[in-house]
Amino acid sequence: MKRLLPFSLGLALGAGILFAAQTGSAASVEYYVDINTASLVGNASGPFSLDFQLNDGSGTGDGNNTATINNFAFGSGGASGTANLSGGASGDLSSAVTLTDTSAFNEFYQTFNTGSTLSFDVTLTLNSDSGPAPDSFAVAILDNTLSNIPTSGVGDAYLLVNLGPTPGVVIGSSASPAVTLSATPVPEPGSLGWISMGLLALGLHQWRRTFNQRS
Amino acid sequence: MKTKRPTNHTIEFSHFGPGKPGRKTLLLGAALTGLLLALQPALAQPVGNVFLIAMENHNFTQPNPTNSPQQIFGNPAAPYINSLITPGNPNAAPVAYAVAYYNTGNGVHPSEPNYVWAEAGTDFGVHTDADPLTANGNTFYDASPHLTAQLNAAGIPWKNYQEDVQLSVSPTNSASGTTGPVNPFYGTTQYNYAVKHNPMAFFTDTAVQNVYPLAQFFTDLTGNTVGRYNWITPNQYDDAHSALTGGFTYLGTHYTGDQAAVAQGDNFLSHIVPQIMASPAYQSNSVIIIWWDESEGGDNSNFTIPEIIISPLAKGNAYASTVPLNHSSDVKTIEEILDLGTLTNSIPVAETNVFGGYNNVATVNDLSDLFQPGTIPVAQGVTVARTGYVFDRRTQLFVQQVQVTNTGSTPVSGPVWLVLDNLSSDAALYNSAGTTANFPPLGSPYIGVNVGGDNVLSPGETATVTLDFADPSRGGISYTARVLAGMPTP
Repeated sequence: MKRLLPFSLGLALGAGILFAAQTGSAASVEYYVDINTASLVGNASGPFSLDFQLNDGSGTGDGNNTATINNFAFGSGGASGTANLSGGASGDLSSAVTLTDTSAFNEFYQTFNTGSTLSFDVTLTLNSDSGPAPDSFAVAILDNTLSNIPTSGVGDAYLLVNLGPTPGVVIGSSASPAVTLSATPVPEPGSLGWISMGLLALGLHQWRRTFNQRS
Repeated sequence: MKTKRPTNHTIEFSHFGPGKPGRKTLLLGAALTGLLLALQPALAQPVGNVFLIAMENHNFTQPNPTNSPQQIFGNPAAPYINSLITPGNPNAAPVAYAVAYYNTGNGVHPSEPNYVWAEAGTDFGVHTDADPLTANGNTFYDASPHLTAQLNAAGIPWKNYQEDVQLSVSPTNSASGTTGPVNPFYGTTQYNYAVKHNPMAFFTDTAVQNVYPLAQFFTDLTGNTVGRYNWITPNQYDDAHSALTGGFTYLGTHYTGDQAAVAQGDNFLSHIVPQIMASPAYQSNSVIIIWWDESEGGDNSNFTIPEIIISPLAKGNAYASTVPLNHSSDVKTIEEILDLGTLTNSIPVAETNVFGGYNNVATVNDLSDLFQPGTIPVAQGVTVARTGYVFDRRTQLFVQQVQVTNTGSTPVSGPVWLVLDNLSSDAALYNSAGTTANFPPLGSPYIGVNVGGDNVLSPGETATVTLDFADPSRGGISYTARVLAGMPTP
């Protein structure tokens, strides 16, 4: 029994790491996205629109990935106007937006009143496409002519995420108007649970050893 | 005093003390999990040495099997070769072969351009069988990249075994006669060395380098001192090119004319192949490639050329690959096995071979279908990684970034071109620098890849290129990426 317990602890710890590694690189990923929009307030190029795309890498519209965007916070601003939807896009900035790559090109854009910051959460599935180009999710801001604000990112996007088991992130920024974006991965509750369980088991074992030595 | 912080995972386990059961069993549990993790991807075994035996002038199949020269498949004068490609035959156990290996290009004849092709991935448009001489127009390849020069640059040992080569004269001079030593394979004193069957002889940097008579090959097999890459050319009797004067008696049957040549070749292979297979140099996961030079009677899919591989890593039991192949496939595979860059010498447009991914080394099918899955490293040399597509409303174009990385061990000299073959019909490359006019497939848009001021994509270096696509229908974009390097324009 004494020999079995540490063995099972080892298994639990290993399994915790294994599951954490696998869940962290497979089904989905969530980012907290924060955009500094202070320079857009009162800018003559406004009103601005927030633009999301989820485009199919294979070009076939296989519908194997989805982006869910919610928890919008516009600072002192807010959503306005109506949503413009292409392909597998649905939703509204006042609640949540969903894009599925059921077409080669899937886009959502909607006007918003600018505040000093704009933030939201985006959850992306991470299924690989059949061809050499991955599905990709992009975030851009359009001016009042519905043109992208030029950025240093791919295709004037502020954020591009290539979808696959290991998502690739490309961040862009613009100089005029000066806008920056940060995207922070949010750990999945499931991953945290498995790691915590392994560490808890290890701690418990250590506590038992210390307790046994004292008594 | 500060103690050094333990590194890696030992930090968790160091509290348990050495030798105690708790530590061992905990480690065992974690190790078991680690083993499970490690087993997830199966690792392919690398190919060891390459032995290429060059044979001559017979189709594998042809419309009329018994038209002279008779085809090899089913030929009664070639029982050993046919045993290799017969499922269930013990000789076939480590064998795979091609049933769709075609003449490497339209009009690539006679022999010599095929041997040059095996070295350079092209014949440079020169079609002659003459010995290499400036006056013959077949020594101008000096500065062109070729396989053994790549091997030299990479420090990989190679050897060129030529039966009957007269080293006392020169490997660049042919020699034949009837007063040589008794040949160990056919038992007469006839000898016949032809430079046209010696690929390296046409490149002045390697023409006389590492050339050995065939007897040295058997010494090297015994001493395990062969090269990593070994080219073996039998003399013109043993390679099935020419019938011996007086014919050849083989396994109780006397053959004359071209069937004698077939029997001589079969006899030669039946001796040399088992000797190679018995050597330690072969048993280290090596491969024997039995290669024939050219089709007889037509350069189309009605005339296939034999191509047989023997290896512990072959699919085995006479696996018959239907993947279209040609000489560029061998070059490409050898470069992949030995981690060399891809040859990109120009191929005359008139010699385009529409089979097998065309006949550019960069785009042709390699021999990987003949090997166990994962054996041949894919995309060695240069890899292409793409982002997804983003529609830019400012430019009304779809944008994609592509990263071109040299994953090989040899530098790739510029200019470097990214060619988009088979681009979807409703899309166009907006920032194209032109369309291919010299390297088939023709008409494909291409763009230059900026590899920096040194004009070299060094090993490990990555260059990024942005592609702008017009796709008015927004119906999706797809293409096959091809990287070419070293030529002014593709």
